[in-house]
Amino acid sequence: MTLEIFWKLAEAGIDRRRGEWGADARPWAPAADARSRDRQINHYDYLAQIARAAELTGFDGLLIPDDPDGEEPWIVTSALVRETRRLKIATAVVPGSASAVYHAKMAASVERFSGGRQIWAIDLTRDAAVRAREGDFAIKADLLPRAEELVTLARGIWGDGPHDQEGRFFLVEKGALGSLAAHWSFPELWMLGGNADAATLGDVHFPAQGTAGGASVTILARETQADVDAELARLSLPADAVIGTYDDVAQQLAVLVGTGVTRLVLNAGDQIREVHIAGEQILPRLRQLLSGADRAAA
Amino acid sequence: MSIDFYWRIPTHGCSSSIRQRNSNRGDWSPLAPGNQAPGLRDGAPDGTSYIDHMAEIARAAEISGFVGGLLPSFPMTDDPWVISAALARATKAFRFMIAFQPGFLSPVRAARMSASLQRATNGRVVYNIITGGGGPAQRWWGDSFDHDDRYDRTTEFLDVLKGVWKQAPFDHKGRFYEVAGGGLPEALAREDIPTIYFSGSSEAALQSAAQHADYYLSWLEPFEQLRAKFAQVKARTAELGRGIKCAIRVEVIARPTEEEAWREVEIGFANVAAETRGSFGRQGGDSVGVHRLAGIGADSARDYRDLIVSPNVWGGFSLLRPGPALGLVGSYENVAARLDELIDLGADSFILAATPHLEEAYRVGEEVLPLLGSRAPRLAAA
Repeated sequence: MTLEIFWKLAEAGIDRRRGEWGADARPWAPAADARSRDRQINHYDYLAQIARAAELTGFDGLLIPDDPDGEEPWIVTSALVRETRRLKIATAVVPGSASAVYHAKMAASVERFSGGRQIWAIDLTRDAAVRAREGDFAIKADLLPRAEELVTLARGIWGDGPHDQEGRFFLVEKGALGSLAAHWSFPELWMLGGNADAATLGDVHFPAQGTAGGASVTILARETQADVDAELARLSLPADAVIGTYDDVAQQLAVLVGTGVTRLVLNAGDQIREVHIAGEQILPRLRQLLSGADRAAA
Repeated sequence: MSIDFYWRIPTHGCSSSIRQRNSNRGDWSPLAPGNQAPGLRDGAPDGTSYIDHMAEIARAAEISGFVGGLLPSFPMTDDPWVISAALARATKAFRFMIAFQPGFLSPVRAARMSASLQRATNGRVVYNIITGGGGPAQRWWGDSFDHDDRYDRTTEFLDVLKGVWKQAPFDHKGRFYEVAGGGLPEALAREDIPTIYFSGSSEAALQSAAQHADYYLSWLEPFEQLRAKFAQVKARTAELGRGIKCAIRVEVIARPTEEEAWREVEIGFANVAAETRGSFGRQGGDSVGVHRLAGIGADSARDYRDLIVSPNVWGGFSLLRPGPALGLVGSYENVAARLDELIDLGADSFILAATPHLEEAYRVGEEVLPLLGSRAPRLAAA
């Protein structure tokens, strides 16, 4: 697999409030009358802007996570399909949230509308409390078998079938997406979270701790160390965040990629600013380092 | 009282003419004379796709004064949620009426998808909740419940959907669903729960509709049959505690003169081989509505006139394209008069459709709707 670099549409703080609509965020906005909202700016204008920024600054794709406190990823995915031209879109797929047929059907439309740019990122990161709030009472030991059933069924109906499957979690009779899936291959499959067994199910594994073929990291990159220090004084970052000057961060990411990472996912808060820093400052440096390493190896 | 007029987005391709039964608009068949094939110009993906044509239909509908459009969902169609979100930013006022069955999604997920979509569209989501069907088709979708069970499940599904949306933290332990402390993120919970169009003719359906639905949606049926049905629906749901409005899906062929309209039917009918008429008239499943229409007899007709049910009402539409058997055929004045009659017998809202959906949205919006009586809406406000 050739290295591909993604931006993660992870939102908190200031990102959540941008283009937001509501009494708290924009006191001058009209009252909650659906008609008065026609033609108004909303949060999806901001999401589209991040996606386009990622595309313009050279990212290969976008990861749309399923944050229980955020937007629903199938809706975000679909809303961004026509806002972008070449970006791949990795959509978090939560197996307990829909029938397997319906997951596959939504995926087929996304593939068609995007020209085959979709990736499935099966989300195994949700803990029992989050799942219960979402109406999902599957026990932990069943999460991977359920994901396996989902993938088997979705692949089975991707085409002319007919595919029969009656599992513990999903069923289908004479299933086939037929012309819906014709011309498009089944999406690349990422596994978010889960143990080593999860790795065997997908094309790329993002382990809960550390990295494998997939690595998802928060970055903080600034021109000088003084700039970095100034930001650090204001921010609290995850312990495994990659921090430093542009050159430092590119160097650290190159080392990470050298461990076998093929899907590198970056994120940082205040996204419209950070996606430009990452795209303009880090990606070119990183690609330069990696092609240099290739030449050295050759 | 104002009447809402919706259009329909064909979700499995469209045809350039009602005279030919095909889906030649869209990437469903290769490019050929009389056809367009977005996405597959030289047999390979070209960067456009059928969503781009659906966007044009939605824009034509909103330009022509329709409040929105129904997005039907069948096994071979594109998905209404994906279509709606993809078109949210391509349209301004168009409401997305999403057809879906409770068996497709968990109710908590459905609430979250809906609220996100309300945010993406600035509050333009409408539901068309479908419960009927059954049999092998239902198992195709991965769903195995029986008919009456499915209406119980629809009721419970909507209980949970509304509960997590507006009564967080929401706990529920029912026959079909369980939730502990469910809710939506605050910004999503502020959104309005979509207006609910509800389909289903059985007593089980009406019990469910009375609890949750805003509109009872029927296919076009013989007018007196519809009058009786709407009266019963309104009375029964009022008895059950919450009266609902009625809506009709109506396919139309409207032309400057009645003769021109019937010529479309005559040619379309002649283009369907006699031996295939039977299969086009029928649909599977255990839906009461489907059985109610089975007596029309498209398969035995030798002449298109055999299928005229009443003035301007033709029962052979299922021969010309997939969907309901009955539709309206006539001059602009004829069709407007029939729609006025339907309003008089209890219709509060319509989902209209005509093939090709893009050009006909303009024709129906410009030529037919302005002729409706004073109870119809002033379209400029839409």
